[in-house]
Amino acid sequence: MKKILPRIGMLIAILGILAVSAFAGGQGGETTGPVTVTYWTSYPLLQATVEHAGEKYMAQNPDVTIESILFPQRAMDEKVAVSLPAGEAADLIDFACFQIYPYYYNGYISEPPEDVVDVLKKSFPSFTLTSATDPVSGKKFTIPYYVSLKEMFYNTDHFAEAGLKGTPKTLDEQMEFAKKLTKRDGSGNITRAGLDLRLSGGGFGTFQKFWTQVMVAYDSWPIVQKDGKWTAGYANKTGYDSLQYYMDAIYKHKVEGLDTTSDAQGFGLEASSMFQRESWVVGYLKENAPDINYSVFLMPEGPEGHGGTIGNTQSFSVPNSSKVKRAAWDFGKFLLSPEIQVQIYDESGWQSLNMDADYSALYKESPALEIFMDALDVPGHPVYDYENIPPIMEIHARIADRLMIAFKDPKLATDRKALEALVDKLAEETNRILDDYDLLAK
Amino acid sequence: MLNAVIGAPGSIRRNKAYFIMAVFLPVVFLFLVVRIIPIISTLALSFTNYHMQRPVRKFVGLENFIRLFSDDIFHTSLLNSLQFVLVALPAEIILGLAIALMLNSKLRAEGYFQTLFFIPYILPMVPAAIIWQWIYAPGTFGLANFFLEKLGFQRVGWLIDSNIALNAIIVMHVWKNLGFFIVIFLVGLKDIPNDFRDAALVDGATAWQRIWRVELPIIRPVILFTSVMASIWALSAFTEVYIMTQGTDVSTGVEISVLVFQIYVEGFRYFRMGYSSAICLVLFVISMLLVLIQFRLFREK
Repeated sequence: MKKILPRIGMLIAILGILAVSAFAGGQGGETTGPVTVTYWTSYPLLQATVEHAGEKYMAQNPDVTIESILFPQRAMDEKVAVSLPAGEAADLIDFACFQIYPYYYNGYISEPPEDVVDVLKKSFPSFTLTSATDPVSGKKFTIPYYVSLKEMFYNTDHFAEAGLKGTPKTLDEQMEFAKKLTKRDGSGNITRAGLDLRLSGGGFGTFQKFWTQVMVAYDSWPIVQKDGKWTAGYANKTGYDSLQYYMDAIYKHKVEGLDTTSDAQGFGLEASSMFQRESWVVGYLKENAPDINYSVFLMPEGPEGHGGTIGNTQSFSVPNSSKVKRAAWDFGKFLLSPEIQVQIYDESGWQSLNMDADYSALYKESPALEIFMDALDVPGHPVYDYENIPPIMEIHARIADRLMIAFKDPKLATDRKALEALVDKLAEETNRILDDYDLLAK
Repeated sequence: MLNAVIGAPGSIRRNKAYFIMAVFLPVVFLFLVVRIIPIISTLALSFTNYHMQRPVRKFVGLENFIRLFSDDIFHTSLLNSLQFVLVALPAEIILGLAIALMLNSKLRAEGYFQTLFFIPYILPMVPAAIIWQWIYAPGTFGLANFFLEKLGFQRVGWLIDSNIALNAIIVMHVWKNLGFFIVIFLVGLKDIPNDFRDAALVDGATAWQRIWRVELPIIRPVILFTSVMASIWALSAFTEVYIMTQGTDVSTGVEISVLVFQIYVEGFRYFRMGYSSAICLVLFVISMLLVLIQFRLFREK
């Protein structure tokens, strides 16, 4: 019995050493021979598409196995945050450029090779190169391969029923259209929203839609550059007017309600006549609401004639800790090829970016896809992306949190001073976050 | 002194002591690794500016706590958590006790009713929360509003109206846990020797007097146990808040945020682990205080 204690102690020590070595990340060099390239994404349709693309790639490269793994969106953020600094992330990470930027900024992401960047320069829209560039060093840090471009879906039957010709070109016209499209029951409850606005939901999406829907048109910006640093860009008339538009839609013109079924689901159920979203909705409607007759129009302009939309570029990045960088970049380059870009647009619905690819077969089946593709290059309709600074996601998410509360306060619709005070308070928080990262312009 | 406690070297008593220590050592080791070390680590992190995306960890003293107490979202979370406790705790105790008393009154098919009440408790929280999210869905797509409109009432923004949303989630929380409390109370009530009830009957006590003056005082330790469990579960509510604030048709998570949800948001959405750890510490202190208060209230006089 006296010997039991030391023996158990030795067993625990051995188990402990084994456990530590199992978790220890190896930082060795590139792996040679047959390799596996893992790819992480949080978009189900894209995961399936990359899997199919992977099969084609593996047929041409038998030494490489492509493993495409899907995570729920929030889980993906957490997974990457924990695994990337620990050197345990995938070899290819599918993230928006602005999402992967903080990791590049802190030294976890490798720079793409020149031959991959050359594909971007040759065949992709110029704004993608801007999105993929580190504003500090001027170097490329990721490779965009599809875009989350937002435009307006509208139900053509509802428009015809309301006697509406054409589509709205300005925010004011959009509101007038929405008033004619809105339907109510006997108790005054909205049964069909003329204009579906994103009023709730987790993450930064609510503010993204707000930025796209109104701020761009009013020429209002979450952050603006000043003397090489940044400051909140919306604590002014443009920001106040942006919020006022939403509040008027809900409480004054009542073209949208807090409890209407929203988003693609709402549009598919004909609970709304217009809403803003990305091209993946085309595939969603084909599957879930094939009888809906719809089309797409470009985001309306503001009262000063300012227009445009948000298109956050989604990219793939290779961590510094990856042991199969060469294979990962090579597969990434394969994803940029015209054939695979058509496949991405077709199978996932997410909008590809290779302008040399021939998408005509897709347009025949779904004309809306052509409108999205053309929108990338319309004069007076620039495509904007998020700024590449580390705290950008936190800034947007915190504004989203507070906006969602604001949308439910009817007082803000009529009390302009209170509305302005709220916007100013949001801006203070934005500036505090910038200050935490030593990015605030003094 | 050691010899007095565990016996002299070579003695059977000492050998037994060694054996017991050896058996418990792995368990203690696991407990240290899984419980104690993370708690100490969280405590230490709460005084740093640790951010998961940045390889920097600097001691910042009380800065996190100072920011916490001027953060109105933290205030909202704190008040919501306290509201959760103030509503869920009495609801679970009173309803649990009332139903247990009814089931204890020699009801026919008692086993059947016990099972029925216990089923929600064993249902995993995630599917239960999703089901309730559908029940509370806005417009007439949700079951709750569907029946309300059929009965001639106005539909309600169950998860949209901030005045209602948290209470709607508390209803779900109480529904989910009630079965556990019913079973615990039932066990306590069945444990009371019948002599006490017979004596009360002989003394001419009414049913209510028997319950109030005989049964409840005897099951006081059981009430303390359930009260502590109910308050800890209410304070640590997260899954139901997280699940029922997902999607684009529901209320913001911020308005109905509770402390654990805020810990998650700060730590895993904004990756501010130092700040999130500070909220953990505050929650820990509040939980301890609440438990101490309950022990004091329920202590034997």
